[in-house]
Amino acid sequence: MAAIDPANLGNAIVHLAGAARSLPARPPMPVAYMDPGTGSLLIQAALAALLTIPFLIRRRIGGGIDWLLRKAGRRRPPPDDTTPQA
Amino acid sequence: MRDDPVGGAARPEVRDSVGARRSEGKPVHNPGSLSNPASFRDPSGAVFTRDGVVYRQIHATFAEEWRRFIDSGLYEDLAARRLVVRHEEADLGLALDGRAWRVIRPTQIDFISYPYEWSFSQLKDAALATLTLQEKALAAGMTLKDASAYNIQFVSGKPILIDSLSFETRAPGSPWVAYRQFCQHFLGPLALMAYRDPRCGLLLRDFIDGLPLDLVSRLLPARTRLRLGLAAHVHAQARAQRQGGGAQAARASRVRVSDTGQLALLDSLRRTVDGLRWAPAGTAWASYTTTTSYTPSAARAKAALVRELLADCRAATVWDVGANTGAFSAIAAAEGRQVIALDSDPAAIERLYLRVKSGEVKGVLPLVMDLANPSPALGWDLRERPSLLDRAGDSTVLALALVHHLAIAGNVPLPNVSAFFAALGSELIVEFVPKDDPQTAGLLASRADVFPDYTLDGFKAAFARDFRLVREVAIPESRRVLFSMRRTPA
Repeated sequence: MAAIDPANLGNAIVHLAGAARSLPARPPMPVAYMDPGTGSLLIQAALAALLTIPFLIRRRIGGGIDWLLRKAGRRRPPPDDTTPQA
Repeated sequence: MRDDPVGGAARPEVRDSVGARRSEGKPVHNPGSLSNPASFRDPSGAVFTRDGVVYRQIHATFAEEWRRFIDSGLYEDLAARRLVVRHEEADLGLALDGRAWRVIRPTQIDFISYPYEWSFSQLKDAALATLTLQEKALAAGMTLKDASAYNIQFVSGKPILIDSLSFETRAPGSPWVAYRQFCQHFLGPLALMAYRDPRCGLLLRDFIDGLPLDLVSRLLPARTRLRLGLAAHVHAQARAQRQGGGAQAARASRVRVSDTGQLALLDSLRRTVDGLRWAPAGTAWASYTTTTSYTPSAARAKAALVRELLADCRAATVWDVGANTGAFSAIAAAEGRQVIALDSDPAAIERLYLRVKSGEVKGVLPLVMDLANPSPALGWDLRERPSLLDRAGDSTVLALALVHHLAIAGNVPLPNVSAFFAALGSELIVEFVPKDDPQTAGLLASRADVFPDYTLDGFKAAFARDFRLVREVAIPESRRVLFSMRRTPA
């Protein structure tokens, strides 16, 4: 399990601050020259940073539940149906 | 966007709507190898056909990435999980042109379908498979550079990636370049289908590169702004996209996303997609059956007759047109045929897909299709996404309790119905439902009967233009008639 990386929190703050500063203030670009991918990259970075801490916490809790189930002799099913086929 | 078809769509010859054969691609350099018209955007390789077999060439510029894909074990892992189509090496001499470094022969896909033909759960399962592919790629130090829904096909009721050139090495800290495409091709349409109407999936016909997120954001109910996943990946992203360009572009080029950040993003996307639901029960389409106008014994007799008529047909593929929830598709599939089940009702197709997915029905590909307005040719030069008819090979057409809907509810003259079936396949099993049948009478209840030719004799005369009658048999305890026919040479 990955440890909580303080750098992720720093990234989150930087990206969120950047997004918050730019989104409401800037006038919209002319549509023909607008690159929607730019905004998507910025929001992706902000979301990834923002979601990291809850994700790691959830994984830690999930790991704890798995450990308890293993102790009890039961196992949780895998999160997806991607078990290798024979 | 880059997406590639592999399989039936790439047949070198197809039959057009008037029954004539025409070439689907043109030789580029290597005579006999025909380029696929949907493959031109791909800088990594190209799809082509030769003697009716689909191949993919890998360009020399993509050699390093391909080696990494294979040597890392990612390909074998994904193929074993049936998440990516298997392939075998083929002779380089077959290559389409001089850019080729390798040629592979992927497992052939019987029929290429498109996202605007899928039910809600089909699109959802394709989305979840795409996220799994990206998660597995990340674990192998690679990334899925395309998240196009057109790269996914359904094989035995399971979504599978057909574009094995979609993986590339991930530079440390790089964001997921296909994030926006994933949201446009999957998340946006699914959210609209779940929160507005399942027919919103048809919007993908107009927006071949996925639904613009600003449009999705406007169409979704305001309450979706309170759902964290949709607020972030749709509404906030749509707002961010409006500011793209200029200084923002420079900032975007410096964006970094950690490995854990990517996993967190994928986890959030998975939770958001997984949380979208649409249950046909309780909707306007709540009740289904193909046998409402039959007594149980008549329904059994009809099933036995259909089975008997199918046994005399040779084609490996059956088009069950107007399939409803697939009662007769299942019969055809049980006879060992590959069935493509079409119905305009998204709820019926949803139910059939869930039966296929559960393994209850095997060998059926359910698709949402309004036969009065079937999928047209779309995309660049109208050749990127072939029409329904352009994807039809030799097949048996099963048209049960359908003609009265097309002819009376849809105002399509019987000769046109016959010509359409003739374009779909060379063998036909068709049911005639007369005007005094309760179902047809219901269609005429609120309108003037302007269909003087809709009689048994009129039906036979219309279909005699395209087909030769093989067998005519009345369905017991009803006034309906089943016909088995063969297309006459043009």
